[in-house]
Amino acid sequence: MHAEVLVAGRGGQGVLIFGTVLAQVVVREGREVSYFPSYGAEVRGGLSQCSVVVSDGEIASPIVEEPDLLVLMDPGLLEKFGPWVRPGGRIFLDGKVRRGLEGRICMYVRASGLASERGVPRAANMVMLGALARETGIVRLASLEEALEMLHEGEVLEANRKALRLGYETGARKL
Amino acid sequence: MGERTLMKGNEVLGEAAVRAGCRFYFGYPITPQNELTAYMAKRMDEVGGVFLQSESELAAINMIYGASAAGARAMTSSSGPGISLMQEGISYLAGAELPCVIVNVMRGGPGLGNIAPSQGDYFQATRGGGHGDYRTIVLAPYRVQEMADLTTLAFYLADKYRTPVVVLVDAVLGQMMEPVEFKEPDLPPLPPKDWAVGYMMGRPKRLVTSLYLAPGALERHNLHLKEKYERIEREEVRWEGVCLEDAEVVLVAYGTSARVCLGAVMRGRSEGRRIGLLRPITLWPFPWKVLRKVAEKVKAILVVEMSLGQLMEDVRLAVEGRCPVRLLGRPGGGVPTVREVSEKVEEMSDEGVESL
Repeated sequence: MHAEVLVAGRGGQGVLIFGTVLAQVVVREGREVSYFPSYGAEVRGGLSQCSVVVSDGEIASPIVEEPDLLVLMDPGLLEKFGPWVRPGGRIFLDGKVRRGLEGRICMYVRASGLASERGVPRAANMVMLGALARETGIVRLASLEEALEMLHEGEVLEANRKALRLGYETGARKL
Repeated sequence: MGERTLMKGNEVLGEAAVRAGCRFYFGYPITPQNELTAYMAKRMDEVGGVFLQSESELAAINMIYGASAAGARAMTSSSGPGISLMQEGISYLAGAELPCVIVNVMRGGPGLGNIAPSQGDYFQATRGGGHGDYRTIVLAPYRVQEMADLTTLAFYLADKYRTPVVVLVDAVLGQMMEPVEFKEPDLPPLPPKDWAVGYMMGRPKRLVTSLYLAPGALERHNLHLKEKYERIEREEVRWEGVCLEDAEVVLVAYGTSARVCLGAVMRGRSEGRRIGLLRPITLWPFPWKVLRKVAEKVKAILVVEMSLGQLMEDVRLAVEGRCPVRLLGRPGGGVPTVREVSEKVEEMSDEGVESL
C-alpha cells in the first residue's frame, strides 16, 4: 500500500494537526511515513498545506506532487489543488461544490457542520480525518484514537475523540 | 532504544547531538532551523548542559571555540545568513584544529533571500567557507533517520580528526517529520584530548591557537593540515548507489534533491528506463573515485540540485570529460519534482548522447 496525501486549508483549520495525527498513526501501525508542512510566516486565514506519504516500503520524495488523496478543509481551494490529483484519485471536501473535477472523485464530508452541531467546532479536522479513515482504510480507527491520546489530554482529547468518531461513523458522500 | 518515534528533522539533529554527548549549544534563531534551537533550550536544561542564545552568530561560533578548546563537545546551528557570519570563527576553529559540529539548514539566498528550501551553500560548505587554506568535513543526510545517524558520526569525526564538521541539510529535511530510531553508536574509541586547555594541575602549559608568526611556522602548519585532509579523503568518503549496475543515465544529487531523484529512479525503472542514482553522503571528502568509474560506463550524468551548478562543478571535476554532464538546477526556494527529473532524463535519452 502506498498513498500520497495532500492536505490543504486556511490557517486555523487544523491542516497541520491533521497531517501530524495521520503521520503519528502510521508510525504506530509500524509502516513508513513522511510529513512535510508549509512553514514560515503562517497567519490565521492564510493558505496552509502539508504532504503526507504513507507506504509499506521506502519513501522517495516527501513532497507530494500528484496526490492519490486530496483533503480540502476549504472547498474553495478545489480549483487550485484539484488538478494536481492523480486521475482516479479522490478529493475530500468540507463543503459541497457545484462542479466536480473530471477524472477525479469528489467526496463530501460535512466536517465543520457536524463539529459545530456537536459543540466541538474547532475539531472539524478530526471529523474529516475520521471520514477519510472510514472511506479509504488508510489507517485504523483504533490506532487513530491511540495517536490522539499521545498528542492531547483532558477536554481537548475528549473533543478530538468525539469528532474523530463522528467522522468515522458518518463517512463521506460521493458528489 | 529500539523505538521508532515520529520527529521533526530539526529536533532530531538536537536529540542526536545530546545523545552524542554534546553539552554545549550556542546559537541565534533563524528560520528554517528554529526548532533545533528551541529543542536545545529545553533539552540542555534536562541533561545539565549549557544552552545559550547568543547576541549574534559571531558570538555563538566563538563560544564554540571556547567550549571546544576546553575539550567539550559543542554544537551550533544556523541557516545561510547566520552561517556566513560564522565563517571567520570556522576558519579559526579549523586553524586551531578544534572539533565541533556546525549545522546549516539551508534557505534561499543570496543575501537575506527567503526561508524556502535551498542547497545554495554548497560551495561555502565544501570549500572551507572562511579565509585561509582549510577544509571542513561536510555530511549530507537525506532522511530524518540519517540526520540522526550522521549527527552521531559528525561528533565522532570532529574529535577523530580535530576538525569542524558541517552537517548540511535543506529546509525540507529540517521541517519534515519521519520515524526515527536513535541507535547506540558502534564506533572505535577516540584518543584522549591531550591538547585541551583548562585545569593545569600536574601538567605543562598547553596552547590552542591559529596564530603562527614564526618564519615558516604557518607553512608547516598548513602542510600538516593538508596531510590530515588527505587522510580524511582516503578514509572517510561515503556515498550510496541505487541501480548503478546497468544504468545508462546516472543522477547525482544529495539531500532532498536525492529523495526526488530516488522517486525518479523508481518511476524510470518501472517504465524500463536504465536509470540510477549516485548520492554523495560526504560532500567533502567528495566521492571522486566512484564517480569517475561510473562516468566510464554510463551514457550521461544528470546533476540535480537546489542551486545552479555548484554540485555540478565537483561532478565535472570527477568526471573529467569522460561523459556528458547535464544540470537540473532549481534555485531560490524551488524544489525539483519527480516529474521534472523524469522528463529531463527522457529528453536526454531521446536526444541521444552524442548531441549532449
